[in-house]
Amino acid sequence: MALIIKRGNHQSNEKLRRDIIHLILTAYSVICVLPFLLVISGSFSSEAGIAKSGYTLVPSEFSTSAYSYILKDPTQIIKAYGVSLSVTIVGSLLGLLFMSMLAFVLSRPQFKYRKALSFYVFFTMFFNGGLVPWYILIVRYLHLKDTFLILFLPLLIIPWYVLILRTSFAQLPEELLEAARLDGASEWRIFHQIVVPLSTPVLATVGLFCVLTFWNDWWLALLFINNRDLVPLQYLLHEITVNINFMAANPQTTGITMPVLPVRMAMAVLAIGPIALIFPLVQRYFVRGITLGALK
Amino acid sequence: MSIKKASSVSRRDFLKLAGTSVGGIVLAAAMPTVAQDVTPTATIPPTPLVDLLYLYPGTIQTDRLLVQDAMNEILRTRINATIRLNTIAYGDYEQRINLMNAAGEAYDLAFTASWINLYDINVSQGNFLAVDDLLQTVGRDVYASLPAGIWGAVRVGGQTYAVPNNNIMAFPGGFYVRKDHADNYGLDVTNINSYAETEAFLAAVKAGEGIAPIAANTDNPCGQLWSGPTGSDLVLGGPANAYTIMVDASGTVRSIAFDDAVFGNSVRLAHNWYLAGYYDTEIIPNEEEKALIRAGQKSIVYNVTTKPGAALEQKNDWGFDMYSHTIVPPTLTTGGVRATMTAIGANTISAEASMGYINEIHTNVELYNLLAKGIEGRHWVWDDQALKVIKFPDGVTAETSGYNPNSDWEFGDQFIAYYISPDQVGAWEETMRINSEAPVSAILGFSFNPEPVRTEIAQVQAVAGEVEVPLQRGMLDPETALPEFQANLRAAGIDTIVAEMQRQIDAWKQSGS
Repeated sequence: MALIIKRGNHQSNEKLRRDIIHLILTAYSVICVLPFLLVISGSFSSEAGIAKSGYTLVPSEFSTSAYSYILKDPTQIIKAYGVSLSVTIVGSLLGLLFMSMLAFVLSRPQFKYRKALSFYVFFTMFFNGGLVPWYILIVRYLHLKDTFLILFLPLLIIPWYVLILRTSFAQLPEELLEAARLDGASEWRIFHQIVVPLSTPVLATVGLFCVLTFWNDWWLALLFINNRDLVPLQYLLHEITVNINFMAANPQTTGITMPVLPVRMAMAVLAIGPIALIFPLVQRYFVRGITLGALK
Repeated sequence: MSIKKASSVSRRDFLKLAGTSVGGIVLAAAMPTVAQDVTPTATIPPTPLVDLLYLYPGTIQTDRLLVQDAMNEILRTRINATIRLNTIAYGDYEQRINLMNAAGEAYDLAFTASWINLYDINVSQGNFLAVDDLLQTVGRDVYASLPAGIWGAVRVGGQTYAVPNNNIMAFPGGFYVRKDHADNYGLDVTNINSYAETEAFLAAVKAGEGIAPIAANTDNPCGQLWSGPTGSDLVLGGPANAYTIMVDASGTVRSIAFDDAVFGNSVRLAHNWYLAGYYDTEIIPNEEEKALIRAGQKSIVYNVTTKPGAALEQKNDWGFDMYSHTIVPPTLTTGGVRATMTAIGANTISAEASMGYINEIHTNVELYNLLAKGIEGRHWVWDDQALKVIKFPDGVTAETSGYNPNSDWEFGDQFIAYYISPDQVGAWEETMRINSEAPVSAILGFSFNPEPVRTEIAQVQAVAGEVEVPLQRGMLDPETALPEFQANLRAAGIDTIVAEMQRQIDAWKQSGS
């Protein structure tokens, strides 16, 4: 009897504790969502509304002026979405392929030039030749200015991601690979039939990193793209930002009254949209991948 | 254009013909309709057709390629060249050009100024071509069209490396005020001779509208109330900086911070006004200030450029009818002349064609207005052709127009631009008068080399950066804050900078005479 009652108490205590924790976490989650709601609400406000009453959860004066300003030339935005999307897809797939192959080689103790190759890769994390020589190489020698290639080629191998992949691959039991080798599997076969299927968490993690890197990059376009058909979304938004900042600062160039404050919010909405959709899909792997790398 | 009409021969064939043969005469003979367009001064270099790359900062316009095609119709017949317009976002312009220069990438024409893509530095790095000879030949029209006195401001080491765009070069200073407020609260701007005299108006607006009436803007980010004494040239810093080092009309160098009659009085006035609630109590970022202005929460802004037509420009900006009133007479300074220029790249494919382009864009009304305003019928229509006033076509606004760069000042001779409002008519003549009548700075053409005192400048800027906004908009008590600020400036090495600038100016004068 006593035991049962006690257990009942224990259970209700447990339940209470869990409820409290849930409550706290719910409150925390709501706080996390608030900034996004503010951004979305800000993007649908009129500038005068923001000036008078600040950013509010519900627009004080509803207006779509920010979106009509940004989307006044929709063909350019659509093109830019297309460029960003293709760069992200092609770049992430190729990047993941090359980085995982490189990481696999670097993770194998049998590989004779492992140290030298590791040094060659990771040295670039700390030192580089500087912007100008890099620019000269790409423009004058590789002739990659104004090409689709330049938008993802420089980001295909990112040493930090290689490091993450290598660490993860190195933790696979050597016996497993040894067994495969004894069965006559080639290194290539070991890689794509054993290592890759066992490493989906880390591949998903690095894949997501890659997607974010390529989706968010505007720097390469700033340096190398003049052709308006190759301008990615982020650079287009960057251009709009720097121009509205400049124009807000220089009365000589205005004459167009721009809703500066809402435009910024609207751009944030346009830029994060697709990524916010991808994130929940790979989040599962993302969390596992992080702990995998961190704990072992 | 006439070529388009006449060409049963394809345009390309025609150009090949015109390009590879002997230019003008053949061209005129083969195309009688073209010949009418070619005035006697047009110089068609006997080279094959060249394609010029022109870099300038701006907002990328949807219809820029249509405008480019239309410009090229004219340029082919006039200078046997075509142009590629390469607009680069304002914030990215400098970096792009720096990299192109570093990599030795060729461009033919580039916008340069004293505030972006810096003229001095480009000249010292050899990025621009000296154009003195070209200005006597291909560019003689543009040379003649600019006031003779300004060329001294552009010369470096006796040579000219850019052609200034013709627009306001001597900037008068004053204030803008909302017309409705001024009329309602009894401010007769024509009677105002100093900022202090607007105090009664400020009090009335504060009481009547319940707002802090003084706005800040980019010309005046601190709401500061001082401006350099007549004939002075602000060489280091600017009207917003509390440490600004200027050269007065007699050629003496000093820092504004130690000028009690100018700076001291202005911060004392600002402090009184701050206590009375005429300024915002906190410092508001520029773009939010803009939003407040447009929301009708501001009334007046001091210490701004009151050039002809400013009231109209400000109407766009504020969303209200404005008065613009001049308090400080203009001075022609190096910075003013160099505020907007076009240079020819050192690696240009054709220096002659590039100068030919500059010459045309300064003198050919049709070509200039294509670049500045777009295509007739599509981007603008006549409002009053006799007065040269244009307006947007029906159903088109500044926001929806496919081509509205709205930056006349960076392209060539603004004085041949069509007016965009009947209120603007006459502004160009007035501006030309100001340019030619303004007293010339004692050091026109001098540019300061900050290298020897770089450390001191950084220290002084850091010291000033801490207090210049609150001090100039009256948030600090000048009785204690001003002496402290002056002591800090001295400790940071302001005297060293002043001495170095004086030395450079003396040496510059020596070498000139």
